Amino acid sequence: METDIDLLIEKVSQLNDLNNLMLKNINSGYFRLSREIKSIKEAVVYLGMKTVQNLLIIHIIQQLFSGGEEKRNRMFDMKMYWKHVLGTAVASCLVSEKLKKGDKYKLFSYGLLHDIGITILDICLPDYMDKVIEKIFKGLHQVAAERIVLGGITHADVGAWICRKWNIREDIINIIEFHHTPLYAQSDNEYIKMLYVGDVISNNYYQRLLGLNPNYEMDKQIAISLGLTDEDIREMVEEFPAALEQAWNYNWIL
Amino acid sequence: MKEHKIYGLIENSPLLPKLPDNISQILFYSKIQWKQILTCLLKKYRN
Repeated sequence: METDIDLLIEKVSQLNDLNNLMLKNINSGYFRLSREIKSIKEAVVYLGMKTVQNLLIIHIIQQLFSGGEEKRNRMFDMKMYWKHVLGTAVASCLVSEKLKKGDKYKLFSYGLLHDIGITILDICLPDYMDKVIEKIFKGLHQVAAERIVLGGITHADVGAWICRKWNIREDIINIIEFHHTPLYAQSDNEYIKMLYVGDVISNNYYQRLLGLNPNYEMDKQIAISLGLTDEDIREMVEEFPAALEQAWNYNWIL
Repeated sequence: MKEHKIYGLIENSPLLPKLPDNISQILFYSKIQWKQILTCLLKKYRN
């Protein structure tokens, strides 16, 4: 086992760009670590293997999928999408803090990964993605718009499908597949529900910024099952813009 | 079961990035129990 982890750390360390990007983000201040982290090995000890792995995956995906958008005149705004992704990560952390449940930094990293299906669709099928955005601007819920345009499936299905092909960890696949439908999840239920609440808070915030009527109504059953009251949700919605700004100020590289 | 046509379109898209081998080796071990690894590592650090 120790040989495996040493191998993983050695391989990440060999990829200088990835190694530096990871350490820069981990030391950005967001994780409130007591001292500077100088290696991936230290990061694993402080943040846990899953969180470090999740962060590595999101950085790799970002590198793989970067570029290209400047060539296209698109309805879909990739920058806004990454802002929402960071927003979901931040809001999920707020949920974890409010409930005093779960590992908030693991949730943060799940938040960064949850919408990978949108990245895949945007890169591979940009015209489909633009049609989805057109329908959202007309007032349709994102999931409904996707089901119409994509023939019954959503970005959550696409994200889970590609992650299965890539042999990514099952807990990540669960988060991606069920983040809009947490009650269907067979495992990791609490994390998926917390991420769901974070996703709704972030989505509604950004829809308001775009001048749209926020149409993501939170499923009360899910909030209640987590132990969240209406007052808790209202407080998190109020705290969210400042928490998000704080995350931006730490210069998270996304 | 037949795969959804969207998956076929994505799979055949020349724009779909291929994961480099070294990246897959780093991240996508399927059999490793990460909890056990972390426990081993923490034990190593504490000693």
